[in-house]
Amino acid sequence: MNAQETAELLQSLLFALRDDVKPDLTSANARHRAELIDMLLVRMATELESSENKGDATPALSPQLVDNLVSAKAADVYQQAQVEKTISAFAASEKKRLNNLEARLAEISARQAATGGSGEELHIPKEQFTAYLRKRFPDDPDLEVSAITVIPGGRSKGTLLLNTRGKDGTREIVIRLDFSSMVTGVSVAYEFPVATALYEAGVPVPEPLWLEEKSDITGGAFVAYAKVPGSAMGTLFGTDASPEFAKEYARVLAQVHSIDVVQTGLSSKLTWGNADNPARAMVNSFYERYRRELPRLPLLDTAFAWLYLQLDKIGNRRALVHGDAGLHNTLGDEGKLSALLDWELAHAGHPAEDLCYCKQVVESVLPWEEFMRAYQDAGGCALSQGEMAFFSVWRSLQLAIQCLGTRQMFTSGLDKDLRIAAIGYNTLPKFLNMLATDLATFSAR
Amino acid sequence: MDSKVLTEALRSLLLAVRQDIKPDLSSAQAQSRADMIDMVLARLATEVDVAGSAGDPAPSPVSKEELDALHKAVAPDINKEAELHGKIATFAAAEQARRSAIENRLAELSKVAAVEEQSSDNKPLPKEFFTEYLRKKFPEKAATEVTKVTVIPGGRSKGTILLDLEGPDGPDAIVIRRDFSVNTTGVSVTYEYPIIEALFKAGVAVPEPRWLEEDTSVIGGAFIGFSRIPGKAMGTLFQSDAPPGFIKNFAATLARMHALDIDKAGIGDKLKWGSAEHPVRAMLDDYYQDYINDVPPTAIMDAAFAWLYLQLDKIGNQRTLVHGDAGLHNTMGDGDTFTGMLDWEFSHAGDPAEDLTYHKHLIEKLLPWDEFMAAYKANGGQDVSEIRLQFFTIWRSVLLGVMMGRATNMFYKGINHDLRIATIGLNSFPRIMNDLARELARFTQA
Repeated sequence: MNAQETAELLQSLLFALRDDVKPDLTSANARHRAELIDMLLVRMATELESSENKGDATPALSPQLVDNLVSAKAADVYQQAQVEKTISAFAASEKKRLNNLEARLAEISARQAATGGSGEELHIPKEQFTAYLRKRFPDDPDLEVSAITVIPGGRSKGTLLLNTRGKDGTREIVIRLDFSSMVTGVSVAYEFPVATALYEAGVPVPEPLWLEEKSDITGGAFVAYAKVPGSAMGTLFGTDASPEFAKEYARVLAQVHSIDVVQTGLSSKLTWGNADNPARAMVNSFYERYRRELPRLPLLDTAFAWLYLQLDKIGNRRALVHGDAGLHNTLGDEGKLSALLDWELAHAGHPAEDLCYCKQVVESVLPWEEFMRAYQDAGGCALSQGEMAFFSVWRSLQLAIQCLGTRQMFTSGLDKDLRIAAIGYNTLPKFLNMLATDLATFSAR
Repeated sequence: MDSKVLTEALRSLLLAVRQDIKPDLSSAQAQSRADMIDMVLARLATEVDVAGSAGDPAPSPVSKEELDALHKAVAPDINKEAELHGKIATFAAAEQARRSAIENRLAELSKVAAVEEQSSDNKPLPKEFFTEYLRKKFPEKAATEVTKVTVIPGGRSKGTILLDLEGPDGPDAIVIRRDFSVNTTGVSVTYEYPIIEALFKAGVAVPEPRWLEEDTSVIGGAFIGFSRIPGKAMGTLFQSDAPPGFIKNFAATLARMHALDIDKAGIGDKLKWGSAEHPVRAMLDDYYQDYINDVPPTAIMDAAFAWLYLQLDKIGNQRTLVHGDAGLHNTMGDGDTFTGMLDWEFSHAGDPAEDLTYHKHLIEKLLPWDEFMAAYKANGGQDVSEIRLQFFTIWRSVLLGVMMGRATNMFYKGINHDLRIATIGLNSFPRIMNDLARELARFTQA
């Protein structure tokens, strides 16, 4: 991280502090401390930014000379004039340098967070949605939206909860919509047929109600789902799900992986669904994006090389893979798995991908053998050592590439929000560390 | 800012976010944003810290061409493949060691809670505590009851606590002025007590000092109890919206204070430099020593000290009571009425021009300088020569530079890493140096 990058990160912190944290403070002490934090962040950002263009400093006085003056060794008149001249020249140059720095500081302090960053939430008046729904369902002229709640979070998609009242009573509808600038580049329109096929196959997913390809209200596509009760059962890094829940999750994954993508007609709609070797096509597509758009890192180069060297040992399975199959995408309701969400990264590929994806978090609550037993009992296939190794490395590589893309958004100035900064500068190194660990483990064999 | 200072500054920010900010948040959004701030600060502090020590990443063991060949599914021959495997394994092991060192460091930092030593000293003291203290201190007023304790945040060197109390003689309002446990100025409230007492007796507008508590174990530092005076602070170190009438009364107060006969008032030898032959030189010598001992060497400070010494012969050896921090931030008022001059910790014997110069740039924005000086003289003040004005203009920045530079040093040397010290040392100090360079350039170019 160079000084410039550090300075930019500090500014993201500053804006988040000003926009999100300060307004929520109530105690005088906390507010005072927040002012100090603000002040210091501005100062550090300025000094770091300016550290690279220092310019030449005028030589200062010799300490000896000052000491002589202190001990009152009066210099002769000629010498005194010389000293005064040196002081004058030095003061003039310091004045210029320091004035520039303070002016820059004032500028940074006055700077506002760029608008349009993804930190902004969606606020859509309910009247607009009411009008939209009445047009969509002409047979229900009194249909109305009584409340809209923004569900926070979501890296690439926005989520709204609509409470509606119509001729069949009240209803809760979840709207999953595309943000204008998408981190993943996949539209919700892609996941609609996938979710529909899954729902029809009896997999616990929210019932997809309809797809709106181009909405005037949200400015992009959205999918409407029936709301499913429950709450997210973990994060990408941990979970507090019960062992029983984890087993149920294994069974659901087996169910997903056993869907015949050809018979259901999904293969032509899925990414890499028509590739000779979906796993290779997937690695290729990430590699090409990496080479095209992202800064090269020796670790990523090496991980790709290793994956390519293993690829022959990986079959060309063409199952439906969730692609982001962590417990953070499961909903649990009173201990039961009520839904598996977020199908935007679903694609054709090897089921081992989903299993390796969740392995680390699952193992924190259930021995892996038991998870795999539940998976196999529900129709899933066993995994080979090679497949496990391949998709473990793949998981951290893939997450690292996504984070690197996010960091690119930050460095290129596309989105300077703190969330983007946090992914690009904090989550990325975590995944790189994970990748180094996985690669060290598996390449040593 | 080198990487060590940067690391420490980031840690100070991190601890302040954890200790002072997070506990005060209530909305989920603000909490999640504060968590992100925490996370990124911890990351930055770690990365900056290990940047030198963890070593650079090793170069990639596969060439771009090799990688592209693999991508295009051109299989290397068996020998080459084994070699490549070996190189990958070696590289991955080194990367793992390097990266896990960073992450372990980060995990350690993430666990650091509010255990580091504080100088914020703003921990709440309950009213029962003060009730008990006052009853013991003043047994004749055993019925005293503290009804409210208000801690005023801020305060760079001293803390302020307001006490509302019900006593046998009715309600009372006390201001506690306390030493912090870590003191950036090095002057205790015990020094200012007799001075304020003398001023109060002489009728100068200061709050009435009621008692001095020298026992530092009571609240972690000596303190003075004052009667609370009406009015509000009439400005900060940087700005003020005081009316012209108030400024004139401020000038009058300064004149009365400078007219105090310090020997007759019995504080002549209690005052700093009160016994020196040439108080201004003595002051300059002392601060130069402090600068050499406690402040990181700064070229512009060297130049300023040299200039001050060169001017010293033109400055007389006056020996009046000087407030030493006579800015509008230390005045209390209500409209035009001047209710009190606060904060006497820097008072000393010296040249009154020092006080007049201290806030000149701010006063001039509120009242023409001539009118200010007219009010000063009308109340017994003496005229001040141009060279004295210049001398003490530079002096003010040098003085502030030494005081703030001390915080810089405390921070650099790891004596104290609290956010308060960090902001003084890393933000206020460079600001003052900017002022100093500007003033010195102006006076030396003339």
